Amino acid sequence: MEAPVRPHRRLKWKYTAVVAALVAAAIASVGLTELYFTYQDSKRALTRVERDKAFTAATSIEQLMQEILLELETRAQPTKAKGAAGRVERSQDFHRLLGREKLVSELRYLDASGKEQVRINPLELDRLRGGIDLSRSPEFLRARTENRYFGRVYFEDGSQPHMTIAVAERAPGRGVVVAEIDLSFVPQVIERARVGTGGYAYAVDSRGVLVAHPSTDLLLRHTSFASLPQVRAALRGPGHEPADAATIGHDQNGTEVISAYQTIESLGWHVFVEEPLSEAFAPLKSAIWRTALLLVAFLLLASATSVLLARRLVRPIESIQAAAARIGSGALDMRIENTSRDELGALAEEFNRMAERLGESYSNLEQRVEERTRALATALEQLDEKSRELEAASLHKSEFLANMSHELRTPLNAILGFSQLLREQVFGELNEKQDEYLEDILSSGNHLLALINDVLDLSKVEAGQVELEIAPFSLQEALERGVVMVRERATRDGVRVTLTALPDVETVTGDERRVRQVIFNLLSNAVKFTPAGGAVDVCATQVNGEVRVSVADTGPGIAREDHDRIFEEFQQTEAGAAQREGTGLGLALSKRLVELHGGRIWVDSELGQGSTFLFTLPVRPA
Amino acid sequence: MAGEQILVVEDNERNMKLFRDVLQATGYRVLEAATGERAVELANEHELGLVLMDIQLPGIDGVEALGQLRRNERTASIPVLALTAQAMDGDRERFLAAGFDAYLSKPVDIVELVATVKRHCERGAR
Repeated sequence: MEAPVRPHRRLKWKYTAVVAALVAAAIASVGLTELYFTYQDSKRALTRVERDKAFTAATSIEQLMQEILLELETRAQPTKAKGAAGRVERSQDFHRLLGREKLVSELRYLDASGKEQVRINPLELDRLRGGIDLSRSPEFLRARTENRYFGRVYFEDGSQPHMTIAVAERAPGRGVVVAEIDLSFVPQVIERARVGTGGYAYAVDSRGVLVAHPSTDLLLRHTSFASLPQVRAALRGPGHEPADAATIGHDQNGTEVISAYQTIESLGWHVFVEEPLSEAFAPLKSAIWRTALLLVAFLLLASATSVLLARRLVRPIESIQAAAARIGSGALDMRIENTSRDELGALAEEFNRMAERLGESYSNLEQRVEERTRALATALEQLDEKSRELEAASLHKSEFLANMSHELRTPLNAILGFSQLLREQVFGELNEKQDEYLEDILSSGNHLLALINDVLDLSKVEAGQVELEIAPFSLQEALERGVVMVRERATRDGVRVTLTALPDVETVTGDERRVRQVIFNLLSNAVKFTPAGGAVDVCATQVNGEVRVSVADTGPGIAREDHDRIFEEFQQTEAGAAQREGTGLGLALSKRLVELHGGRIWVDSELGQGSTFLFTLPVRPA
Repeated sequence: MAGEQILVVEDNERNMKLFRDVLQATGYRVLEAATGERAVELANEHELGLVLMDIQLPGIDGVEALGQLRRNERTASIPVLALTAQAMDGDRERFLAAGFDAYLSKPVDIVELVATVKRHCERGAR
């Protein structure tokens, strides 16, 4: 019996893999999309925050500067008094301003020739100083040409940033008011603009040199940030980047930062607010971790669920498969336990029905086989019976033949015996007529005896009671004996009998007595029908694995239409009938005997051309 | 030699008459028995030179009668010839094997019959 088929790839695992892959794909795609947009959004949001801060810082610096400028411009006009009184008036005015405006640390007035007329600062309180010529100083020249001048940031008392601002005197005055501005509020404002924990803010002037930075060291060294990409972009002027886009820049150490800036128009400064990318996206990173964790968790959950689901889905299939396998291996009374009402249930139902039908037809088959076997046994019995009957019939037939033979021979014995006794003339002479009649009686009696013998022989052959005694024998010898048996009559009738046998047919296998009977029959026929002076030639050759014996005579020949007929019982040619000799059974018997040997017998003849009777015997291995 | 007594066992009257006449004409004395039992009796009672035994007889058959003759010391050595119409294939061999001294089939050639009888009488007489 065949082993049940085991599936190579289990449905369970296929289902599990499919479901897990689907869940993983869903979570991963959602997570990644979410991450991407979160990244973009947070970048934008951060940039907005930075820009706002930068704007706030820049605006407040701008405002202060505007206030100071306004104050300075108010002061920058000709005094009512001239000369010394004028200087006094201006210095008083300057004192008031210094007192009110804490950011201004020193005020000077340069006259039209660039000579310093008034210099007021809280430390020196030097009211009037004699005319230092500052006509070549940039503050004088630039203020005269551009009305305003903003100097570079410089540091006093270590790190206090200061700046020189000059404003041209209103007409008709042609002097210049120069103020030293304390910019220590700038770092504070900038400091307030920083975002996050790692974020920072700084400001550069119009050349990119730092004016405010958390690192004092960088400030004092007048470090230029002009080489940083975001600073370079800012220095080129606004309008080079989309307003909404986040700018990714570098800090001085090359670390990537998200950067935004705002320009302080009046000063030409730029306020930068920056945060390292790593810090800016720290929440994003944790979001990635969260997503990954979720992904793994859901993947596990999905796998477990799909395993369970697949199991539930596959279990009925497996039970159907197992049951089908058992049915397939011959357990026809096996049934699938059916619990579900779905397609699988229907399948199981169909399987059960099929198994039932199979079982039924199998038992039907067994029943039918039994019936057939019984019928066959009966038939065999009947056959046996028939065979016994046949045997009995055959026995009966042979008994009948034996009895008939006996009953015919007994009176014939008396007929022939008394006739012979009379012919011996023991009991007196016979006249010629009596002698003639006696010969007739003897001849007829002998004919009758021959008939009895032939009929018996033929009957036995036809009843299948002749069993050949197969043995090797010398065909040459058999032929010679046949010739000897007819020689006497042949000599008497003037017929020459010759024998030609090839050496290679010396020994044949068969029933010697029966073969001799055939040879004698053919020879005696040949001699009988050959007229005086004729010849009978006996010949044996081997042709195509057969031995062929031919008996040729120079008799009257046989018409073609009679060739078959003469081998039938009691069918003689006219010449044969005229001879009043022979029983009409010799050729029929010869034919039967040759055919019993597996050979053939036939005649080759034309009327007036003589006849050749031929028969073959298969050559058997000795 | 002539004058020897021959027992002919034959149930057919005409055949009995033929054999008797032939044998008597040849010079033998003839005793006749129509059954095997009678033949055994006669053989016991007379001096016989030879027995011509038919096979198919009423009562015991020729083979049985031969057996009884052979079992009796007095008759055991008498030549017994089977003379029968049983002339199917194998009959000759069968009867010779049964112990007959010769086998002659009916219809018998009387010349051959006489010659055979003569031959066996001479043998039995020696």
